Amino acid sequence: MILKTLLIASLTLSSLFAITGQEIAQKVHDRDDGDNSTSNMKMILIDKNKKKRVRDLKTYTKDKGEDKLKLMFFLTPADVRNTGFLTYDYEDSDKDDDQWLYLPELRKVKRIASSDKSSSFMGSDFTYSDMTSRNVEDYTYKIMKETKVGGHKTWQMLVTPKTDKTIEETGYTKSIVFVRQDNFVIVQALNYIKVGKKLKYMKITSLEEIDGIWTTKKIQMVTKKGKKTLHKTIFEFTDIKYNQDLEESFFSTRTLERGL
Amino acid sequence: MNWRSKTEASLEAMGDKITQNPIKIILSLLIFSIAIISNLPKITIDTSTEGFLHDTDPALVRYEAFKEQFGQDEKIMVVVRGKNIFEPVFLERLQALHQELENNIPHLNDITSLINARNTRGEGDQLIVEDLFEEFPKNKEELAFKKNLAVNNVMYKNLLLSQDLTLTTIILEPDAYESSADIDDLAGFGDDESKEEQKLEFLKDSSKSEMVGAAQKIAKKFSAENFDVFIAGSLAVNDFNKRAVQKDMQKFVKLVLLMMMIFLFVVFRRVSAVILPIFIVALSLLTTMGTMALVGTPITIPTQILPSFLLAVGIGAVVHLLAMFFKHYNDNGDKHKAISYALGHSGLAIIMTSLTTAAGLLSFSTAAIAPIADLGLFAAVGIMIALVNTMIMLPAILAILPINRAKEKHIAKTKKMDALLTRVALFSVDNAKTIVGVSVVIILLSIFGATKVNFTHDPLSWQPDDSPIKLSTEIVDRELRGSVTMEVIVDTKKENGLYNSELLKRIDSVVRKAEAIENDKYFVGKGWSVAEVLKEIHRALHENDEAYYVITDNDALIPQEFLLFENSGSDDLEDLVDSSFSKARITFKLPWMEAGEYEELSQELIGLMKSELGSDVEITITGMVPLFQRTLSAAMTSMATSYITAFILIAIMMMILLGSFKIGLTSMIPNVLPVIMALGFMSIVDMPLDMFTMLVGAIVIGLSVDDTVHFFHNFARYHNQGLSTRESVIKTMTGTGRALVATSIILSLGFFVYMFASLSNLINFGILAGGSITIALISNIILGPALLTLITKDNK
Repeated sequence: MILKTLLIASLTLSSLFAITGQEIAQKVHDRDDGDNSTSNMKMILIDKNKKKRVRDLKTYTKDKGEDKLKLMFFLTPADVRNTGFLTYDYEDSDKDDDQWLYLPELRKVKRIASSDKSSSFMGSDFTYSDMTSRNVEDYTYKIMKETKVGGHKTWQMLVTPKTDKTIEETGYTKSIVFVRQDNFVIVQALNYIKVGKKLKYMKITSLEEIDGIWTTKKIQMVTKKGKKTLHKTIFEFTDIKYNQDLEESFFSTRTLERGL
Repeated sequence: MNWRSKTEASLEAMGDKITQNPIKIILSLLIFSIAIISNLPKITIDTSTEGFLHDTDPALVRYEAFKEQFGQDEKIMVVVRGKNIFEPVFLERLQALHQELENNIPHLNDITSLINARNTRGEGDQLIVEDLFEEFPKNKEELAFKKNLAVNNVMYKNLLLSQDLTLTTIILEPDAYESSADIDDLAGFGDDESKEEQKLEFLKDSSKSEMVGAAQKIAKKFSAENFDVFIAGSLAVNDFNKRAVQKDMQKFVKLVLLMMMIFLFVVFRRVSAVILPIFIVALSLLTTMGTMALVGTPITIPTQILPSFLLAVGIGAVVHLLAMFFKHYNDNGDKHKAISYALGHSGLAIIMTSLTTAAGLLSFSTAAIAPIADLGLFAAVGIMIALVNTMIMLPAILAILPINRAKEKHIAKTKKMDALLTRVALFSVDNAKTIVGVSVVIILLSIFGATKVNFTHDPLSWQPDDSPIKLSTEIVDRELRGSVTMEVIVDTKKENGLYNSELLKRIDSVVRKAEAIENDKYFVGKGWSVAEVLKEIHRALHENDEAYYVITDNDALIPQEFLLFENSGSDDLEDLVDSSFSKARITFKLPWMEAGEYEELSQELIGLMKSELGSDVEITITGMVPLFQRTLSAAMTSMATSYITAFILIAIMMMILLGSFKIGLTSMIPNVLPVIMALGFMSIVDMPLDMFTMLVGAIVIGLSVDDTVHFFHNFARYHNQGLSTRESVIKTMTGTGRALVATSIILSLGFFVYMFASLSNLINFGILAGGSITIALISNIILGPALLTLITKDNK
C-alpha cells in the first residue's frame, strides 16, 4: 500500500517535471493551427469611457512553408468598406513582414514598410507580434506552477525575452502565460509593457475544436494600468472554415484591388 | 462686574485648578499631541501648477478631464545644444542619452526625440512609417538624407529642432496616473465589468519631481563639450521651487529658533525662560503639522512659512504670560499664586489677541487658491493649539518645575526705557491733530500708489536670476519658441464628426493663423493638431509630393487615411483625437510669461478660433497657460475677500472687546495704515503684488491689532479709573508699551527671516511683513494715542 502510494506520488511528480518550459513552448508553437482558412472577424474596441467601436472583417489565411499569408477586408463600418490588408508574415524573425494595403477611395495599393511589431494592430490592444507566433528560441521559460483556468489544467509559465532586441520588437519585458495541458493552447497571458508600465491581459473566452483543430472563437485583450482598464479589444470569429483550397496567387495585390 | 472682569476671575480660578493637577494635565495633553505628531512622516510637499487650485475648481476639473482623455500635457524637455546636431558623434551620443532616459526615468509614459520621431513618407509605391533614426545612417549619404528629412519636417521644427539647428530636445511625457505598486498583477484577469473600478490617482507631484530629478542626473552625466544638456519645462520650474521650499523651510525654522532664544534670554535672563517657551511653541507647531499630515494637506510654497510663522507668533503669548508670572513670583515667592495671577491678568488679553490673529488668517480659508486657504486654516488651527498649550500646558509645567526667584532686577534699564516711552506718549498726545493729519496724508498718498500695483502670478520669476531652470526656459522660449502649452478641445458632438474635410481644413487654418501671431508682447511659437497627421499621410500616399501636404477634399477618404495611420505603427492618434473621432485636440506652444500677460494673447486666440471654427463645434480651453491664468484671477479674488473678511471680523472683535462701536472702528485705523503703506511701498519700489505679498494685509492686521488690544484695553482701564487722557496714555505706554515693543521686534524679525529665502516671492513677503509690523508698532504707539486723545472726552 505504502509502496503504491509512493509509486503514484513519484509518478505524479515525474509527470510534473517530465516536461520542460522549453518543450511546452515548442509544443505550443508546433500545434496545428489550421491552414487555408477563412473566417469572419468582428473587432470590438472599447475605450476607457466604455465607448464601443465595431469593425467587421473577412479574413483569409494560408501557410507557405513556415511563413503565413494573410488577407483581410473590412466589411463595416461603411466608410472603410473594402479597405484591404495583405500580409506576408515570415518565420525568420530577422526579416521584416511585408504588408500592402488598398484604400478604395484612392484606388491604390501601397506597400507599408514598418518593422515595428510592437505597434497596435488596427488600433486594437493586440499588436502585430500578438497576432503572430513567437520564436521559441528567443525566450527563456520557467514553469511557475500548475493551475486551473476555466476548469482546465494549465501550466503557468514565466516567459522572458533573451535579448533587448526581442523586447524592442514585441514591446514586452516579460509575460506570464497559461498553457492548457490537454491541447497546448495559451488560454490566457499577462504581458508586461516596457514603456508606461502598463499590463495587457489576453484571455481566450471561447475555444472550440473545429476539424480537429483547437480554434479560438473569441479572444480579448485588456490594457490596464493598475486596476484601471485603459482599453479593451474583443475579437470574435465566426464561420471559420479550414482547408479551403485557397491558391497562393489569391494572396496578391490584385485581389486587394479587386476587392470582395 | 462686567464680562471682562468675570472672564478674568474664571481664568484665575482655572489657574488654581491647573496647579492642583499639573501632572495629569501635562500627560493627557502630551499623549494627545504625540498621537497627532506621529502622523508627521506622512507629510508631503506639492509645488505643482495644479496644486494652487482646489480640486473642485472648474479650471482644474476641465484640465483633469482633458488629461483623462489625452494624457499628461506637462512634459519635461531635455534640451541638448551642440554645434552640429547632424554629425555622427553627436547623434550617437543623443541616441545613448535617449536610451538612458528611456530606461531610467520613472513614471515615463512616452519619450520622443529625433531618434524615434515619427517619420511618415512615401517612396514610389511604398508608404514608410518609421522612427527617424530607427536605422543608424551607415554613410554620409544616408546621414545627409536623414538630415534633409528632419530639417524639412514641419512637425519637428521648434519642437525637436531649433531653426538654427543647434538645439534638439528629448521630450519626456509623464504617466497621467500614479501606478499602484501593491496590486496582484494576476488578479487582473478577473472580469472587470461587474466590479466597480477604482478611480485612478493622477500622477503625484512627488512622482513628477522624481522624474525631473532623474532627468537632471542623466543630463549632468551626459553633458560634455559640444553636447550641453539641460532641462526645461514647467515641471522643472516647479521642481526647482520645491527644492527651494525644502531647503528654506529648515533654514527659517533654525533662524527663528535662534533669534527667539537670544530674545528670550535677553528679556528674562533665565534658562528655563528660554527652554519653556520654545518647548511650548515647538510642540504646538509639531501638533499643527501633524494635523496637516493627518488630513493629507501637503506643504506648499505658501504653507512653507507656517512653521517659522507659528513659532514667531506663538512666542508672544508665552512671553506675556511668563512676564506676569515672573513679576508676581519674584515679588511674592508663591509659585501657584503667581500662576493664577498671571492667567487672571494676561489670560483674557492672550485669548483675545490669539483670536484676532487667527481671524486675520482665517480670512484666507475661503481663498480660491488652495494652499492659501490651507495656510489660513492651519495657521488659525496652530494659533489655537498654541493658545491651549500656553494657557494650560505652560502653567502646569511651571507648577511642577523647580524655579528660583530672580535675585536682582535691571531697574536702570527699565527707567531709561520708561523715559523714552513717556516722551513718545507726550509727543502723541500733544501733537494729536498733526499726527492724525500727517497720517491721513500718508494714507491718501499710499492709496494713490496702491491703485497702481498690478497683481501678478509667475512662479518662474520667483527664482534667482542665475537659476539654471530660469536660464534654460529663456533659451527654450527664444530658440524653440515656447516652453508651455495651451490646449484646445474642438468637440463636434457627434461620432466621426471629424470625418469632415472642411472642418479639418478650418482647424488647420486656425493653427497656421495662430502661428503667425507675433508682436512686441507675445507670440505663438507653434501649433499642431490631427490635421498634421492627415496631411503627412496624404502626402505619403502621393509619393511625397509636397502639393499633397494638405487635407484631402474627399470626406470619404478621411476615415481610410485615419485607419491607415492607426495601422501604420504609430499610436500618436490617441494623443490627438478621441476614439470616436468626435473631438480633436489643438496644442499651442507659448513662451513662459507672467500669467496676466497671457490675457490679451488668449483673447486673440479665442477670437480666432471662434471666427474660424464657427458655432457648430464646442471649444474648451485648458492646459498649463489657462491654469496660470485661473491661478492669477483666483489670487485676486482671494485677496479682496480676505482683506474684507479680516477687516470686518477683527473690527467686530475690537468693538466687542473695547465695548464701543466708535472706539472699535477707530482702533482699526492704526492697523489698516501699515497695510495701505505696504501697498504704496510696493508701487514705489515696483514690487509685484502676488499671492505671497498679498498675504501681508490680513496677517499684519491680525497681528497688529494685538498691540491695539493691549493699548486700548489698558487705556480704557486707567481712563475709567478717573485719570486724564494724558495720564492714561503715559501709564499705558510705560505699562504695556515695553511688551509691545518687544513682541513687535521679535515678530518683525520673524518675518525678516524670509529675506534669506531662495525664492524672491518669499523675500518680498519677508520685507513687507517685517516692515509692516514695525510700522504697525509705530502707528500703534503714536497714531493710536493721538486718535484716543481726539475721540475721548477728557476727565478733568
